[in-house]
Amino acid sequence: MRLTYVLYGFGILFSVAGIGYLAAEYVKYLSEVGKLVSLLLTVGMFAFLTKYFQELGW
Amino acid sequence: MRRNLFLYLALACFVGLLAIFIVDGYLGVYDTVYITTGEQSWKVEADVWQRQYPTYAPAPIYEEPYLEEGKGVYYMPANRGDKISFRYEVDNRLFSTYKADIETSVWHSQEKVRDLKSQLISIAAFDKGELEWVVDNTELLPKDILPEQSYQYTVIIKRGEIERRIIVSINPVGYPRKY
Repeated sequence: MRLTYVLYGFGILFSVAGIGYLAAEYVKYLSEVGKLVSLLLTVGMFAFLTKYFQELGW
Repeated sequence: MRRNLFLYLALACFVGLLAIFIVDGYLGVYDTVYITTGEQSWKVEADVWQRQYPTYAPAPIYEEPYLEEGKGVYYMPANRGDKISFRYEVDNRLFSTYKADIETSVWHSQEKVRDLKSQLISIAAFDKGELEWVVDNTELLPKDILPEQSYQYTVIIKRGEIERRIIVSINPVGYPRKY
């Protein structure tokens, strides 16, 4: 059971790393305004997600 | 209820991010070069100019230059008697008319050999413009070049402040062209 969670952890980690890598590669081709808005939206997304988990009691 | 609102807002930010990636990736001015020599033709797509390493066509040229010097450069082989046709296409994916001076020239050893074509282009929003010219290799080769010698020249396309470079490598006589 515990091993399953470890494997889930690895799976999630690799997925996030993969998406992060692809996004970092793609960001190179965005315009300066696009980069700025993307940054703001990323900050907003994590902020709202944090608030959501906070409300859940995590 | 309030809790779900935060989740929806996070999702909205994520969707906005994806939308920016798609829309910003599509909008802009993109240039493509179509090269034809003999029966062969190549398409040098807009992303080639952004690459951090040189791009070879249609197969690697084995006398590789130092990689840093080849940033955003397109290398292509040719034979001595070839006439190479170039078609430079500019795709304006902006909401306004795009105007730019396009100048094309041939260079060798950091010196300009000749001007090819120069034109002011004006492209309406979401439209395309193009410029065509032909380079005759026989006119560019030095008279005293030996049959076993290779020769390189660079076609430089200047569009406003932006510069695109295509290096043409002319094979020695009898050297098979690699495809």
